[in-house]
Amino acid sequence: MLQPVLLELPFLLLLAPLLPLCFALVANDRIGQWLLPVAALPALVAAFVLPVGTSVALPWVLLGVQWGIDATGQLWLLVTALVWLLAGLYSVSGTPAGASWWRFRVFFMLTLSGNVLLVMAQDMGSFFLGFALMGLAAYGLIAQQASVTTRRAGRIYLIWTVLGEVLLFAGAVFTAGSIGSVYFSEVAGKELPLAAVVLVTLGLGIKVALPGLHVWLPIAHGAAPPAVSALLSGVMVKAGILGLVRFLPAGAASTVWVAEWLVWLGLVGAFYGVVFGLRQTAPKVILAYSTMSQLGVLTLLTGLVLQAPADAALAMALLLYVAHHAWVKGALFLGVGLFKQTLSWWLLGVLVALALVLVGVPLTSGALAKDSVKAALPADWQHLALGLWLSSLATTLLMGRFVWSLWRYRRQHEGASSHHTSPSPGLTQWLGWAILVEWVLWWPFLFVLPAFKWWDVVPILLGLGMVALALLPRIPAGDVPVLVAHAGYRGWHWVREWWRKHRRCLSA
Amino acid sequence: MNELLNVLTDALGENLPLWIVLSSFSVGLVIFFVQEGSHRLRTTLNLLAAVVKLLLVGVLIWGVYHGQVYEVRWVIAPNLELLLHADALSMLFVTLSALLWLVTTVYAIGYLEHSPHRSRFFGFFSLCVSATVGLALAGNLVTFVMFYEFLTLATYPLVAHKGSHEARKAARLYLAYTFTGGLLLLVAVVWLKSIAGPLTFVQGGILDSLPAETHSALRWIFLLMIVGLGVKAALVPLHGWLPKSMVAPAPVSALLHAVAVVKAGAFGIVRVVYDVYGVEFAAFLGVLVPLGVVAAFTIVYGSTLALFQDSLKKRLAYSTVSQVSYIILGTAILGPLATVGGIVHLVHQGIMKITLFFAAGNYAETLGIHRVSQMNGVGKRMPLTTLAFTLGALGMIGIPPMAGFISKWYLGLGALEAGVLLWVMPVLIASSLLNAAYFLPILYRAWFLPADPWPDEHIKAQRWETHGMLLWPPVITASLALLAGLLASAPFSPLEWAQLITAREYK
Amino acid sequence: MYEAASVVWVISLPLLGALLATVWRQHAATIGWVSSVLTAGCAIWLLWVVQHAGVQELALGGWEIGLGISLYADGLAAVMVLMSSLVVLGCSMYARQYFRTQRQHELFWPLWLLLATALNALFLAGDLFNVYVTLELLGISASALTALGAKRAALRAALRYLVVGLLGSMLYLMAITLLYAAYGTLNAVQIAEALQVNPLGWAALLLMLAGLALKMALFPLHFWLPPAHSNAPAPVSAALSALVVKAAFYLVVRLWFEVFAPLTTPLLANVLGALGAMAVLWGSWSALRAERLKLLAAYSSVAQLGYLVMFFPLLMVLEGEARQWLFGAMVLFALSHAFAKSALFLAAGILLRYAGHDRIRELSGTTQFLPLTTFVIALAGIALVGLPPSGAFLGKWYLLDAAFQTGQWWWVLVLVAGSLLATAYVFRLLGHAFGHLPAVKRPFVAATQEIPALALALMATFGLGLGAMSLWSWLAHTGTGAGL
Repeated sequence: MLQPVLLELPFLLLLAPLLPLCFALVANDRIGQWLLPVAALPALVAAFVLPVGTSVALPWVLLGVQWGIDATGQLWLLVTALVWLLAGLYSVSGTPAGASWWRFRVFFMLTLSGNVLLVMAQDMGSFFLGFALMGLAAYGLIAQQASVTTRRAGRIYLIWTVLGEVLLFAGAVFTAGSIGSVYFSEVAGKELPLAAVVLVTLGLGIKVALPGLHVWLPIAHGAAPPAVSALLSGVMVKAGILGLVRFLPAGAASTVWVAEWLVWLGLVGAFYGVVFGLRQTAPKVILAYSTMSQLGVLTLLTGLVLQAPADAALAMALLLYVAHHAWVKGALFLGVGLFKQTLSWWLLGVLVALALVLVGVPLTSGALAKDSVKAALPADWQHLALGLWLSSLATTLLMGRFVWSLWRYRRQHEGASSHHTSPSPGLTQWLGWAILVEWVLWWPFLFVLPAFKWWDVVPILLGLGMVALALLPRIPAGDVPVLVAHAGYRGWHWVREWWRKHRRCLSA
Repeated sequence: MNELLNVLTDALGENLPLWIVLSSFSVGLVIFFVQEGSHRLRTTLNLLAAVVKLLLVGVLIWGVYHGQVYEVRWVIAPNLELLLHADALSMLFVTLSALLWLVTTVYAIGYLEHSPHRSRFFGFFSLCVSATVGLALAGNLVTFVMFYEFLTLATYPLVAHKGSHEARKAARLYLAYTFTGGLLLLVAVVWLKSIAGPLTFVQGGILDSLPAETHSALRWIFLLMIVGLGVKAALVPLHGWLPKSMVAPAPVSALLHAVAVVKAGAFGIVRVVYDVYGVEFAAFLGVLVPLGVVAAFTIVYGSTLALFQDSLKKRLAYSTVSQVSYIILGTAILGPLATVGGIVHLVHQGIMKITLFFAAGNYAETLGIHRVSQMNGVGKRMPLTTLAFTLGALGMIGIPPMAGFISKWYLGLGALEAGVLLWVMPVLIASSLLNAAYFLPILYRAWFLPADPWPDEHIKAQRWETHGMLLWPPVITASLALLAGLLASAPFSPLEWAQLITAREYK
Repeated sequence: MYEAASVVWVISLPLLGALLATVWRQHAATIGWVSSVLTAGCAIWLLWVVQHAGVQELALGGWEIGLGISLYADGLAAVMVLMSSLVVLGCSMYARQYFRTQRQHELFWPLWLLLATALNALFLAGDLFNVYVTLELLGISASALTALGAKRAALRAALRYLVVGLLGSMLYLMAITLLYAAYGTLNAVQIAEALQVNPLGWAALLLMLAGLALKMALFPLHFWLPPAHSNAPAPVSAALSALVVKAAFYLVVRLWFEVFAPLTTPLLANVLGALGAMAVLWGSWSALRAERLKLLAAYSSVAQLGYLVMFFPLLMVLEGEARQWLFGAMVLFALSHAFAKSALFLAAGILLRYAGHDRIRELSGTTQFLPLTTFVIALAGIALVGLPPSGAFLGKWYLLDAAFQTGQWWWVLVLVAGSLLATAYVFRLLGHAFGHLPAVKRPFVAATQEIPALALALMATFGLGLGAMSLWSWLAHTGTGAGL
């Protein structure tokens, strides 16, 4: 009896979350380090290979479990698995060796397993399992180094995570009890008590850093290693968005009530992150605030999706935005890690390019995502376009600040770094990052790119202008003419020096 | 296999419950007379009894599953009879006791390897389990009371075992509490019997046909019974003995907290509410809500006090105070889902808490660690033990896939069903948060902080991190706690069994 | 008449033994235990006879009823004889090793067997004068045995015991004189038939009750008991506490429920019950405060006798089956106490021997050195507290049950308080069994003495707790009318 059942199971679905768990047991460092990228492979393959609608039911597990891939889940799994795979590749040589190495790998695997599981979960039990596993195990990744800052960051992260999980648990119980089932497929079309919706939203709202519930996010990102920040910012926080979509019955009265709040909270979050991010100096913390701001946009979108269940364009926009942000932010964080190790100028250039992608300059995924969002805005929410427009401006400013902070970091560490700080990056670090950057630049071309519209570029240019103004050096009295004269003098001086040097070389 | 089991059931006949009780009782008596030095003989006897009991329980389950009725009656006085029988609820508790007894016996043998008075210890240890099994199999309140008192007697020497001034004081306190409780229970039972006649446990209760003028007396009796049982179940404010009795050796603490004493109280409350009063009738009398409030208060109070304990075992003790009340909370909420949550927690709390105590005992016995503040870096030195501890702790918080998650899930659903979510859910949330607040720092210390020198390392790490007989019991129980949660919906899981029981309790 | 012989033998065997032991001094011990064994056998036979052939009435020497020595054996009497014979047997086994010198044996055994004779004769006595004679015999032999303690305190206690015993007997004698003057007979059955409710009857009843209350040490007439019981040699203490006071109690039961049945009123019963309640509280409290083990045991006897009297007011109110059950429970309680207390005193004797003292505070080491003795104390303690499985538990169960049925809930409070105090004093003692000392190599230390004590203790707990059901059917064998 058991045999045919076993044969029918799509093993990839089981392998994707379970293989990392098995890998967690491997204590050997040399094998273990290569397992980091391998672990995410089944999930990635599953996202590509398995058709939408594949599912596997495990009625004996937990409260009756169903894992599967639906339209949302497929892209989500792709996004998730890719970031995990490349961050894993980056980590093969990117993590300090020593006693905590194995611990890092164990927690990496557990977090990965949880993340994959929650994406594939089609019931509340396994979603909550994945959510809790990911949330708790990520603590081990954040608090990896034993310093006072990481310890504090870890503690704050953990407190908020546990709070979120408990609230989500309460919400899940409430939801499951109200609809009489633990399967997400049963949620659609049902009406939930408002309290249930609020509990779920609050629980997941911590993960998506709703304003007020966001405390942990910048602190944790600041302390975590680059690969972990990439994962945290790129994929893990998005679990909150997925959860909202999964748990709440779109279009139901109570959901709509909360969803309107979500829209406004998202908008607030989008600017809140920028305002406070602009006053930060550490590059990773600025990126973290940018994540908060971008999550605000995602929350806003989620709020819209939850109000209009049948709107496929809106759902697609949300997915595109998730993918866009996950990959760009991942690449940015990994890039910062490399930059801090090498301090090289050309890396700074790539980071600037990535920042521009995030901002959404034409021909990038940012432009694609933003344009699809604008196109999908429902009729009665058209005024949000202005908000999004302003948010582009704000993001540009924040990215300017980010680039400035990198430059400042380089200046501070230039003298000291070559001697005693970080070792030069390993090959896999470069490889992982490079693939991600390639992918970020390339994937929008899979889609029909939006037509170039000046209106979309204006906020970017405006922002760049403001950044330029802010970054201008002191301007001497007499302004432009004096500056020109000064530059001319400097240029001539430089040419003369160059000539002297090379003449000597030539003559020798 | 089936034939063998059939032959066995026939051979043992209706008296099987009696044999199950006697299997440890008789061996306990024999062990008293085993010479202190004959380690091997005593160990053989212990393990033999535990295995035999487990097998007998297996046969019992088999028999009940195939519709055999087991009932042993013994009239001890006119109108007063001892009745042992096996129904679904008792099977749950018997299986738990028999299983955990085997594990605890192994653990205790390892734990007490070189300490004095082992024959005395194991003798009482066996008697204690006999009492537990007896009250699990009790078919009426009279029998239950007798085994309840017997349990008090059998555990007193275990608490006092170390013989230090502190241990004796704790044992005295334990006795003062539990004996007073037992006496009140006795009074209540006699009173109830004078009103309602023979108090046989019947699913769905036996009292709902009594005339209305007895109802006020029934409420008083309920109060007395809950006080009497609540002492063992450590309901606040009757819990004072529990943290103090932590002076006992680790296997005893494990047994007290997971299987025998607190469970006897909780099990008794379940019995009284469901099989004597009947949960619907109890709700009609209006006695469930106060019970629920007390349980809720206990849950929060226990967790809060646990936060402030530096002694590991004391922290676990307060955690027990809190966790056992989940069972009572589930009982006090009217509705099948809450019942499932309460009853299944009887098992889940048992296997999780016993894991934690085993691990705590391992720390103490291997490295001399008694306090939380000494646990820095212990995860590296004792990974398996600490892993078991971690699983137990996560279960206590209620994180899937551990067993505790399932309990809390059903309690929450039950509260929703009964329309009392408004005050139950905050309790569940607060307790989970508090549980996290007192368990996660321990895990943090154990796994993330660098190790300090151990206070007193008795057992060096060789092939395993500690003595094998100490190591495997927590690993096994932790696996059970994991499986009970992970495979909660599988056939024969505790959850399924609890659902079966519940289906029969609601008429 | 073949069956009736058993009635005679249970009295004459110990008497014969006493005579032989006096004559054949060097073999006193052997004669003593052999006759104890035989008496116990006869007691079982007697019970069998009563159960199968009904109540036995016997007029010795062929004198008609009302003049000669008449013996009367119904269920209750047979049960009491059996209890007494078994306790005497246990103590005899113990005493063989307990007394070390030949002189002690020579003094002990004749008196001891005389005590057994007196007890059995008292339980089987059919008329009130016979009762008086056996009561005197009992008092004298008991106080003489007490004096065997040979210490100054023991002698003083024995003397006081003797005087109190005589005083009690005198009161009793006055009562029967009154009765004889009024009705011209001392046969219990005849008096019960003829008794009228008048001041004379009242006076007789009160005098008898006073005398017997003194003998059974009912509060507040218990002052003599603790010194006497705690200073006697162990087997003697055991018999005094277990049997001698029970004999007085047995008489009270007989007189109250059979002879004086028309005269007794609930009020009087309640007075008795109240005295019993005070005995329970005061006795238990004093036991808790006692410094010495044997004193503790003695005060515990005061308390336990109080419980027995507390049954009276409830028995007065109940009717029918419930009354029979309660009556059986009272007897069961008495039996349980007899076995438990004798076991406790025997165990105390062992402790005293090994420790050289019986100060509770300092017993820690000795209790650990003597695990089996401690176990006996624990078993006896269970019976004294009334924990399951013991006869006392069942007794208390029915007492509670009756209190609830009749609505007299105040007895419940007394019982709860008494049980709590009893737990406290028992476990104050047992707490000392746990200490740091190394474990004993041998579980049996004083086997020949421990085993009789263990047997008695097991009888009190498991025996009477789980196997007492037949007691009620034995007790059902009473004569048609009131009989004594």
